[in-house]
Amino acid sequence: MTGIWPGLTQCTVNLGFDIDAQSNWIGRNPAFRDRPVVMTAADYGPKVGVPRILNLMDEYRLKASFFIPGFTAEQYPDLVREIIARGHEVAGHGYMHLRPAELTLEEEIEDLDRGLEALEKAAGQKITGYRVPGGDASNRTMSLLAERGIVYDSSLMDDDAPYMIETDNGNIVQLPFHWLLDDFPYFAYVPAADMRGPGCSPASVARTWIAEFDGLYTEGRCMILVMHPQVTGHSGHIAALETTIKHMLTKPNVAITTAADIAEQWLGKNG
Amino acid sequence: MAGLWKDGVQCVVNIGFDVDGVSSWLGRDGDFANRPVATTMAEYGPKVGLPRILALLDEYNIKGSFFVPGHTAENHPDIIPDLLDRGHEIAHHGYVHERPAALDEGEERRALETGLEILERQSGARVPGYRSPSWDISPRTLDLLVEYGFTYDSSLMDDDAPYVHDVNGSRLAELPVQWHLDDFPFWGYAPVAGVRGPLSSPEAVTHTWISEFDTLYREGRCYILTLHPQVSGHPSRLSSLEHTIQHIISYPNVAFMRCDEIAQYWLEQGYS
Repeated sequence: MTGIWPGLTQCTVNLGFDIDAQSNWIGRNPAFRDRPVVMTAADYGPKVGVPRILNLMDEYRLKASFFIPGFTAEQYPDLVREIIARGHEVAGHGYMHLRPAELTLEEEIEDLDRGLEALEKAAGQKITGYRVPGGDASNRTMSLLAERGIVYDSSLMDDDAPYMIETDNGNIVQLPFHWLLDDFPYFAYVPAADMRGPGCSPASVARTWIAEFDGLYTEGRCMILVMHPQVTGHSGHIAALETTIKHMLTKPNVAITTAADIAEQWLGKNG
Repeated sequence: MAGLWKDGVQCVVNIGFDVDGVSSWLGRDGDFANRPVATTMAEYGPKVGLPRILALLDEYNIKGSFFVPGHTAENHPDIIPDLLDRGHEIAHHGYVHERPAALDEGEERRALETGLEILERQSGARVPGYRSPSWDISPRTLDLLVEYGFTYDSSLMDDDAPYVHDVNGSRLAELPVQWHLDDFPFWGYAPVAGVRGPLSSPEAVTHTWISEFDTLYREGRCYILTLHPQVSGHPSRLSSLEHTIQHIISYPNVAFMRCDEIAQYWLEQGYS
């Protein structure tokens, strides 16, 4: 299994951050608006986590992808512009982080369009990348995204390299990931939402991510890390990411780059 | 407790895989067909995980047992011929991964018959083994297994060496299993199904599996690992299996056997 990347590149890696902030909780249940502890735990993401992550990216000279719900973009337009100004990618992630599989077609279209519109307004640019909120796409989602000119989506889980999805509205590249490459299952703890994760140590999470990287690197595949500033942005949790980055940088021919760039590189070689 | 095995074998090991694909999710709830993240996560098993696992088993020259729901075999008709070519065993694991304890007798018979028909058509041979989906047999399952000509079941948990069920005078071998020798409790994660495993580190799981082996080896028992390509087929998890295999083969007198071989041996010895 060799040769899906151009040039000498052996393996591609995307560091992706879903800046859900409050939207993930309000989207689950609007009553969370009245739970300040939940709301502030969420706002830690854009307020403290994103700046810390941006500094880490600068330190290692890496470009990342930030998947931003429209609601977050409306609340933090300056942050969206700051992310772009520092050379990172901004991509779509719904409006209120609603799960498409739980919506009617009309509701899904409304959340999708409203989210893209709000993010494009804050970003001042067309959005061409997407990650479905909640890891719960509908059977219509890929077609709706293609219809809106989205070049790639990163939500499905049946591979660890990009592949093409044909829809009745044209093609869309899929950049698959897996829950084991998401920070939420290891670290998230929100008792008000009945979410009590195992509270893993950063070292144990880094070991999982590094072991996964080693296998994908050997096979020349693609590693999509899905993190959340309200989770990984904490000073302890971010060590899992930094340890993983340090390990990846010891290997030759690893391209740690934006999801858009990975889609483009893959299309250039395989499209 | 000496001498369960012949030819100086101290401990028998089986590496088994339940190739559930989407069947385990559709079997829980047909609505998962409308959750493409869940179904693609499951399809990673037959599509990406299984080839990676087969390469690993070939590398260590280990023959394993593959429990294949009929639904997976229908959707991936190349799997069973490939497994047989490589010397692995094919065994029954329901049709759409139905848990027998949740079925009435007619439904349980249909799941058994449909799965058998598909596996025997694709493999061209009798299928001697059964592992119940979700390890949840009904009070009538063992009777039905004898009626349908199975040699062994691998679903119960009250020992760590084989034993024999007396089913109305017929002998059915049991190859017992344990949840801590299954990958799913450590790594299964599917929030839409309410499954939120701890996502243990590969090292932690390797420690558990190796500790269990060390005691079973000392006592001369039987070590049966139950893995899922959609879970253990990811590189980090496969490293746990590989490290466990490397540990096991560092000991003398270990025999890797397929479940059908273990059951046949046990029944031929006349053991109870």
